[in-house]
Amino acid sequence: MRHRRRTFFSALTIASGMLLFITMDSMLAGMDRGAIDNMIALTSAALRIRTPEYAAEQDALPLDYGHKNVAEITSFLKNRPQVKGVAPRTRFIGQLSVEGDLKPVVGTVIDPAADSTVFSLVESIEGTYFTADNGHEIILGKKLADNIGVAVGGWITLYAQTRYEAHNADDFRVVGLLNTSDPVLNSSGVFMSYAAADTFLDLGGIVTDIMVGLHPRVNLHDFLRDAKTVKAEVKRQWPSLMVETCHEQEAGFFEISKTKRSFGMVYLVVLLLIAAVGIFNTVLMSVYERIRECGVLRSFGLRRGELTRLFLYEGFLTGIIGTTFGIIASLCSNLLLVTRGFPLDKMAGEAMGDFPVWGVVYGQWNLGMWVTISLFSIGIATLAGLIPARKAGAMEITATLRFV
Amino acid sequence: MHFRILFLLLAASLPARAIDGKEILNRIDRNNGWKTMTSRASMEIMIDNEVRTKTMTITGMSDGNRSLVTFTNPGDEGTRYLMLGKDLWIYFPEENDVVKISGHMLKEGMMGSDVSYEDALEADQLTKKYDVVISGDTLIDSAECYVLTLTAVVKDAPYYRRVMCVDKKRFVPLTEESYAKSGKLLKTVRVLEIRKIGTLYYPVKIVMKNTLRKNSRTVFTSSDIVFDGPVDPQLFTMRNLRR
Amino acid sequence: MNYIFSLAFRNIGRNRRRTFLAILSVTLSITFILFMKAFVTGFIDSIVRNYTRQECGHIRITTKKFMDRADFLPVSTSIANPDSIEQLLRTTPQIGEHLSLVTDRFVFGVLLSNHGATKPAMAIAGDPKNEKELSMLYKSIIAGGRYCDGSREMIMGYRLAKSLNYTTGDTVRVMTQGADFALHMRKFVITGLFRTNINAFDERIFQIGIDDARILLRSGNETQQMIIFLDNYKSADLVAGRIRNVLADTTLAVSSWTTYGTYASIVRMSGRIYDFLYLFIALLGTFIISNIMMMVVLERKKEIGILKSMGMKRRQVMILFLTEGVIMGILGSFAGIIIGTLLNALLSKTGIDFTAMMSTVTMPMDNIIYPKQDLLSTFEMFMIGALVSGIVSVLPSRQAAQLNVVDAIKSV
Repeated sequence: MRHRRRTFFSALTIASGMLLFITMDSMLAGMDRGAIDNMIALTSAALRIRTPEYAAEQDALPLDYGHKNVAEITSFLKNRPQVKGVAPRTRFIGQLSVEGDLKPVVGTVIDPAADSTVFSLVESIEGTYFTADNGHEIILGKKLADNIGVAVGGWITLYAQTRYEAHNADDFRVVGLLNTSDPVLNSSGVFMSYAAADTFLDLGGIVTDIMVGLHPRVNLHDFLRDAKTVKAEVKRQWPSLMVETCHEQEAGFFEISKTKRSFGMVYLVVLLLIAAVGIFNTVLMSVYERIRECGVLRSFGLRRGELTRLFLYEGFLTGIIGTTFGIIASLCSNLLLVTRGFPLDKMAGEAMGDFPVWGVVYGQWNLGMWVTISLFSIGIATLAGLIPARKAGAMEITATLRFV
Repeated sequence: MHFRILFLLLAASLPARAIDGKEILNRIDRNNGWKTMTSRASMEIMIDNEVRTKTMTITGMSDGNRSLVTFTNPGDEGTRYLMLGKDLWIYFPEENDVVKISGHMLKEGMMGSDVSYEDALEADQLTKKYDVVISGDTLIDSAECYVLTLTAVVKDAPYYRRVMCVDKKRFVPLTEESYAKSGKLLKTVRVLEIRKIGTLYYPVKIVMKNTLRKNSRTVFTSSDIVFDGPVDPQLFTMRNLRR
Repeated sequence: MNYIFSLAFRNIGRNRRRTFLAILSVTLSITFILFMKAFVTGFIDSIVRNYTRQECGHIRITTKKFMDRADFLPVSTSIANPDSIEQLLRTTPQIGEHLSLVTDRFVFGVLLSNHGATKPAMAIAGDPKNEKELSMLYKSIIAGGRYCDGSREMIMGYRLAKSLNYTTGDTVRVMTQGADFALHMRKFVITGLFRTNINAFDERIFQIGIDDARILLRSGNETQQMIIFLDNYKSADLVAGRIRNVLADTTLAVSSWTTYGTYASIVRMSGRIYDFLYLFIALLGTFIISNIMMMVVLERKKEIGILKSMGMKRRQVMILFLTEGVIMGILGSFAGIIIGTLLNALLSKTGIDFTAMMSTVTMPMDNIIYPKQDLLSTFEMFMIGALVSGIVSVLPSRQAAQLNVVDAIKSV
C-alpha cells in the first residue's frame, strides 16, 4: 500500500487489459448476433414447422401437403410463454411477365397481420405494407423491382399454376419494395397475402409453413435454448411434424459464425498474452526496484519464506485491485455497448457490401468470460510478485543492499 | 353411339331449333372419328427470334388413345414419343433407352414449343371439364362460325375459360383463346388451313401462341394424312419403341 | 541534438531489465500481429481459392441473359464463341499476362430418377483436365472410386447416391431440357462417389465432362460459363473491368468473384475488421511502453531535476524521453519483425493442420492453412510499432519536461 504509485500502475495495466478484452469480446459477439438476428427476423424465424409430406417434396414447392390443423397448432404455440408470434406461410413457383419475357420467381404467401408479429419485413419496406383490401397487391424485393424496371405503384403480371394445376395469370400492383439487409430477399422476394393468393392460386387457405417468433433475449445462447424447448414441446404434441429451429435451417451460417468466433478467441488470447506481459512487466519492475528494500527487511530478520509470501500477497492484492477496477470499467463500457450499441455501418463504411449485418450492433454479456479473465489477471499479478521475491530471497543480503 | 343417333333423328325431325354447345363439341369430335391415322408433320418453334424446326411422322390409334411420334429432323432423328392414354414414354436413340415422363413434366412445352404434352394428351376432356354455351356468331376468313364459350366446372381444368370459334359448315374450331380466371389471355390457337380427307375435315396448319411471352409461337403443319389405313397395333408397344 | 541521442541510448542501457521488458512487450505484439495477419491471410486465401475454384473463378463470363435467370441455370443462353473470346483475351496486353487459366463450364439442373425415387440434382460439367486441379470434388473422392476422366463417366455426391440407391459402377440416366428446349437423355456410369462434408454438395451435385454435357444439351461448341483464373485474385475487379472494355459484345456479362454470393463480401469485410483489430493489438503492446515510461519518469524524478538544474531546457527533456520511448519501440518492432517473419516462414512450409476442427465445418476450406506474409504488411507493422511507441511516449515525456526543478530534486 506504501507504494501507491506503483500499485496504481500495475492495477491500471490489469484493468485496461481486462477492459479491452471484454469490450472486444462483446463487440465480436455482438456482430455475430447482429447478423443472426437479421436472419431470424427476415427469413427463418425461430422455428419453422412443416408436415413431413411437404418436407419430403419441398424442393418442388407443391401447393399441397399443407397443415391440417393450423388453428390448433397456432393456439398451442401462442400459449407458450416464449412465443411472441405465429405466422402462416405458403410458397409457390410463378413467373413474372416482364417485357414479354417470363422470369421464374419463388413467391411467398403471407398473412400480413400475423406475419408482422414474427418477421420484421414491415420495417424495411419502401412504400407501404399490405393494406386492408389487398386482393391485388404485391411486395417485391427492391433489387428485383429495379431489375425489371417497376416502381411502387406500378403493375406487374404474374403467372402461376393454381393448386389444381390450372394456368392462371393476373396483374398485381406493387405497393412496397423490400430493402432489407438480406441480399437474397432484395433480389428475389415476391410476397402476396393469403387473400390475394386464395383467388390467384385457388389455395383454399392451404398453409405449408408455420413460422414461430420468440421473444428476444440478450444472449443468443438463451434464445436458441428457448427455440429448442418450444420445438420439443411441439414434437411431443405432434411427433410427426417437421420442426426446424433457425439453427437447423441455417446450419451453414451458424458454422461460419462459430468458426469466426473461434478465430476471435485466438485473437483475444493473443491480446491476453500481451496484457499478461504488461502486467508481469509492471509488477516485476516495481518489485525489482525494491530488492534493496528486501535486503533491509531481511537484515531485520525477515526470513526468506516470509519475504516470498509478502511479495506474493502484494502481487495478489495488486491483482485484486486491478481486477476490481477492470470489472467496474468493463461494466460501464459493456452496459453502454449492450444498450446503445456501436454503429458498425459507419465504421466499416462500404466494405459492408452485401454482408448481412446492418446499422447499429449491440454488445453481448458473457459472464463466464469475465470470471476467467479476472482469475487470470489475479493469477498473473501474483505470479509476477513471486519471481523477484524468490530472487531477492536467494540473494545475499549484502548484495541486495547494493542492488540499484 | 345410341344417344347420338337418337339425337340426330330428333334433331332432324324437329323444326330447326337452336343447336347447343355440347352438340357442337360432339360434331367437332366426329371430325376426329378416325380409327387410325398416319401423317407427316412439322413443328416450327419460334422463341425470341430463334426458329427451330422439328419434323416427325405420327401414327395414331383412337382405340386406347395411342399414338407414336417419330422425329425425323437432324438433331432429334430417331427420337420416339409413345403416348398411351395418359402416359408418355420417350425413346432416345443414342442411348437406346426409354424413359417415362410423368407428373409435372407433362406441363412443360413439348420440345420447347407452346404445346404442352398435356395439351397433346388432353383429347376429349373438354365436355367433362367445361360447361359449354354458344355466345354468338362471327366471321373468320369469310367462314361463318359459332362462338363457343367454355367455362371450367372443375378446379383442375387447365384454363378457366376458352372461347372457340367453330366453323359452322365444317365443325372445325378455327380459333381458340384460353383465358385465366382473372380474364388474362394466356394462349391462342389459330387454324390457318383445313383440308378434307375422306369425309373428315382436318386442320393441317395451326399456329399456337403463348401470349405472356412475346415473340413466341409454334406452327404445326401436317401433310400426307391418311385416315383409317392399315396400322399395326404392335407399333404402340414398348418393344417396338426400343427397336 | 546528438548528445540527446547518446544520452538516451545510455539511459536505456542503464536499466537493462526495464528496457528489456518494454522492448519485449512491443516485440511480442508485433510478432503476434505479423503471425495473425499472415495466418488470416492464409485462411482467407484458402476460402477464396476453394470458393472461386468450385463456383465462379476469379472472373466469370456469361451472357447477360444467363445472368438474368442465373438462379434457374438456363442452358439455352450460352456463349457461342468461347474459343475466340479466349484468344482475344490472351492476346490483349494488360489482360493476357494476368491470365492463369481459362476453362469452360456448364452447370444445370436435372431430375434424376431411379425406380420410382426422383430427386432434383445439379450437374457441374467442365474440362476434366482442368477440373481435377480446381474442383474440391476431385480431392474428396471416397476410396474405391476414381475421377470421371472419360466419356460418359460421372462422380456423384455420396448422399445423393444414397438417396437414389446408386453406388459406384451403376448406370445413371440423366435427363434434362437441352439448349434446343427438347428433352434429352444420356446415360452415365458412376466411377466414384465424393464426400466433401458440405451438404449442399454431397446431396445435390454430380460432375461430368463438358463434352458429354454439350452432347446432352445439344449445345454444339457453346459454353454456358467461361471461368477465368488470374495470377492474383486480388486484381480480379481491375482485370474484369479491362475485359469488359475489350469485349465488343454487349450481350456478355463479365463479373468478378467479389460480386458473387455472400462469401465474397464476408471476405472483404473481414479484411477491414482484422485491420482494425491489428491496430488494437499494436496499441496494447505499445501502451505498455507508455506505462513503463510513466513509471520511469517517476523513478527518475531526481535525475530530471538535476538535469534541469544543470541547464537542460524543457523541450530537450521532453525530446530525451521521447527518444528513449521511440528507440525502445523501434528495437522492439524490429525484433518482432524478425521473429515474426521467421515464424511465418517456418509455418508456411509446414502449415497448420485444422483437420480435427474441419470435420464439422461446412465452408469450402482446406484442412491445412499456410500463413502468408507480404512485404508491404511487414513494413507497415514496423512503422506502426515505431510510430505508436512514439505516440504513447509523448504524454510521459511532457510530464517529465514539466516537472518543477526544486520538487524534482527533493524527491527520493
